[in-house]
Amino acid sequence: MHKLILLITILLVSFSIKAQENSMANCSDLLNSGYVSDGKEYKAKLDQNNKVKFYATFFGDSQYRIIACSDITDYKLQLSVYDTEKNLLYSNINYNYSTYWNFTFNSTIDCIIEIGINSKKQEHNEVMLLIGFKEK
Amino acid sequence: MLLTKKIKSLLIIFTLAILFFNNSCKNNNESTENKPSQNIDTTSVILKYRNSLFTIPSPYQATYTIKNSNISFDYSLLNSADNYSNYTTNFTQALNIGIYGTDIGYLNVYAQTQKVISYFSTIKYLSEELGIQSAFQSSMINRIENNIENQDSLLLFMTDTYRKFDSYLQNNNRNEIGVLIITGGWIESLYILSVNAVEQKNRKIINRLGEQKHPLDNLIELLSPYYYKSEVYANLIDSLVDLAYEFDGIIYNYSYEKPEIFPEKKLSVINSKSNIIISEYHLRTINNKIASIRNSIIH
Repeated sequence: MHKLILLITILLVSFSIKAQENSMANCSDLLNSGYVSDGKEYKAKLDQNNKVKFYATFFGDSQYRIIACSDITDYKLQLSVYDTEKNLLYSNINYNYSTYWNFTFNSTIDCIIEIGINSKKQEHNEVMLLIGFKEK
Repeated sequence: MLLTKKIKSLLIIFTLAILFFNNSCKNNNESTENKPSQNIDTTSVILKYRNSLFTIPSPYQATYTIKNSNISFDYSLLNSADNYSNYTTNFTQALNIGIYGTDIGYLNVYAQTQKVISYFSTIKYLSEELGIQSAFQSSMINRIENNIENQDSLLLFMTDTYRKFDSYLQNNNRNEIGVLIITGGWIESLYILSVNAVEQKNRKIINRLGEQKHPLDNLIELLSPYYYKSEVYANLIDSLVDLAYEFDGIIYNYSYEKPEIFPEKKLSVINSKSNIIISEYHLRTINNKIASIRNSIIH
């Protein structure tokens, strides 16, 4: 019985911490490790497919951190990066739905960043993208 | 009997757990809702941009490119901090906050720290005129003065301030002001890049100039919802569209290569390749056109 109580407590605490980590309010805390904000907060509501697309140019010889945030707690936030030919460059689905990811670009590339959730019914939540950079 | 007791205990625990979790979520929502700025709907951004957002690279990256190319500092490239009193409309104030922000980035990267304070005071003045001074922390100027020799610290202050401007303006349904600040910053960075590209003929800078093609398209997308807001918006957008025609003459080649992924560092190395081909004619024309656009904003 005690083990069960402990398990439930651990689950609740860990879920609560996870929910806070990429909340909209705490999102900028993930912009650390020398990454400097590009000075903008990109916010948008999910569309009918529960996705939002952001068009971005990443310069060569630079490092970037891309952070996806939302107050959604019922679904895991998916973060994907494509080039303009729709080649998948990164998806957090393969990496435990990581809230942020770092990128080194050897050449300047135009990209499409997609943030969304996997839900059959349309959600109306807002998501936020932060981009930080540092020189190599 | 024992089993029933256990089931009852479990039910109580789950009920308490659900209550605790709901309450914690509710409290989170309440604490967010208590902030007046969070009450305002920011969905106008999304509707106007057809649910796609267009990002603009930080103008500070252009200044790094110039500094890393071993090009000397040139103060004459900047908008004088004394010009601030010329800006009497929200339109010119917002654009020049962007311009001065890029100038601070340029001063900072060249460690011209003694000039930074006057530029920062100018930005503070213009932000007060625009009614967005709350993005400044009251102690920020003092903190900058105390950290004036620390370039990294100053850069963090600046980018944090501009992010707060952006957030404040979005939350208060003044997106057009935020877009103008971004526009001013981008125009100034392109101007500084283009002057150096023409004068120095440095390949890295010329490439960085040519790579502004898509950021310019994105900027036009960001501004286009405000085309009919007033004549000054229309004129600005028309001049940027005219500039974009010159960028159409730049050849951009791209080839995909498989990225390398280092999960332990949460890092992807993007190996895809791109290159730029830009003629001397386009280089000079872009330089002339961006100088003309900038002059119309700072004078």
